[in-house]
Amino acid sequence: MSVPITPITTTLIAPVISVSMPLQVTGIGASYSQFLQSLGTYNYGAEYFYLYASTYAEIGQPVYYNHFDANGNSVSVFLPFAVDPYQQQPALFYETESDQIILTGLSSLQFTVYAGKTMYFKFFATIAYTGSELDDRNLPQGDNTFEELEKAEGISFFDDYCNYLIDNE
Amino acid sequence: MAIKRELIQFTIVNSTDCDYNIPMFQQNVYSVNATTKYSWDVTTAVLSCGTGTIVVNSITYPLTYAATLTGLLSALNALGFGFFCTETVSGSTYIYVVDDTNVYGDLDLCPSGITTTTTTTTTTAGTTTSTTTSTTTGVPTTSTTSTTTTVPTTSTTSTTTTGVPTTSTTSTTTTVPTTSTTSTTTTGVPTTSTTSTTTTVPSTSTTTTTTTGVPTTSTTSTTTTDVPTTSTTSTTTTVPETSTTTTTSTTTAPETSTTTTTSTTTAPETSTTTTTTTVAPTTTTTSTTTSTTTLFENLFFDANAGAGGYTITAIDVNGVTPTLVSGTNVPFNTDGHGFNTTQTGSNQTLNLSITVVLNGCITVTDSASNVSQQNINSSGNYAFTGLVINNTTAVQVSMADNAC
Repeated sequence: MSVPITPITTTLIAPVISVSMPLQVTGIGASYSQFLQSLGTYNYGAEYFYLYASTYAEIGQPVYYNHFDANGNSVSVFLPFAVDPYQQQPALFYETESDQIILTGLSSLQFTVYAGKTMYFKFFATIAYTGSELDDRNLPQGDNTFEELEKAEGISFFDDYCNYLIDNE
Repeated sequence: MAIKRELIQFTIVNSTDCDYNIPMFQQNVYSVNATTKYSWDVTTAVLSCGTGTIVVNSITYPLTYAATLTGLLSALNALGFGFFCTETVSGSTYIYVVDDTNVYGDLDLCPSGITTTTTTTTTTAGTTTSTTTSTTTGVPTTSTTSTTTTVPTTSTTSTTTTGVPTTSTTSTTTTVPTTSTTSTTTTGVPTTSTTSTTTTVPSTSTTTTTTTGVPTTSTTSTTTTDVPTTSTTSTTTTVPETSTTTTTSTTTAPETSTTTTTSTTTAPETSTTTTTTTVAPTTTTTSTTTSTTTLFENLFFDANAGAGGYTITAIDVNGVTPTLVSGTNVPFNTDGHGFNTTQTGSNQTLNLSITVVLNGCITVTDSASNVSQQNINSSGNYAFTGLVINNTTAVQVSMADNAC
């Protein structure tokens, strides 16, 4: 009969597996946690990937994009991040369509982070989100609050003012 | 809906000694950026049985793993909670996980699922003749037998073991009286067999050891202290691939004899020990203790592949509700629920009542490794028929999302 092993609980000063966003020009950028919390409200369509590490094995490994299809079934897609045998740096650039890899919080990019290693990961994203009153909403009554007001009042103040400026230039 | 474009960049640092397959940009991956560390000291832990349990969020999850530290880590990571790793601190080996959300409890390796049988027989004899016969049928997972006999003038001890354990260790120490005859017969070939015999020899001593079958590795060590006036030793061995025999002899024979037999055997769940003592000695004390613990978990629900889309609300086998052994009882849609059903044998029917939100698939692998699958696409009852259920290999019910 074995004796159960009770865990020793400690609080570390720094996490052993950390994901952070680098410092911005204007100060500390958003945290990874904040990024995750934004998912759902903000959906990120990745257009370009850039991956940098200290070894070729890290950037040349299989990367999987996991997501769900319209029927609710999970789908795992392999992304062919191929390393050029003549390249000089363990870095990789990969181009996708913005609707091919979408990060929503339910999807993920899965790859191995090796023991004691650091990876740098960047992507250029098209971000779709619920707009504010000043954003283009593409509604029949107008694109924004000002156009709604104009249509409701039967006037076109800004267009008229614009035409006035053009006519008097 | 509005659209904008932005550059997003991350630095990912893994400062552990383990590789991790991390699903980036997915919520609820709790080991990332966590600082609460749970460590288990496994320096002296025995991993050989390949089973165990761990408590996470007050729920006990069963573990089945290859009997190594690496195998145990894989099994812990497969639970889907935090990322586990090992480290060595001041000569001690620890398994640890860093997680701010889940709360981890005891790690129990090789726990009560193993059956342990301990039989102790003590005979204090004052008569001229004493005969002790022990017969063991069926080999338990771990069996320890200890026999101490204070032998009278003439003593005959016979031990017969039937069944082939994985590992067998037999140790016999005899301080022999004037005339002593010891006969040991072992049938069956264990994977590893170690036999050690120590005899303090009297005036006349006859020792016969017969081993039938060739174990993969066999080590036989015989030490004889005191050389008798007349001594005949006969050993017949069908020689194994590796064999080592060491014999040492010296002097003096006592009037009193003590025989101790200790055997440790790894094998099945049922053990029957019968001890018969004929020709009652002046004083005889016999005590037999047999302890068998825990119901065998012969029905296990596994949702490692992820099953959140449907819930099992009722379980029965041939209409008989099984007994919960580990995890939580129905209803559930998570991993790690073990049951014991009394409905064992062939051609059993497992009935599951399921409430469905998303489509899924259930795969049942019975005790004879027969596999059957069914798509789970509407709420109702699902029956898996023709199953073989026994108390040696658990029936695995694997729950997963998506169609089969």
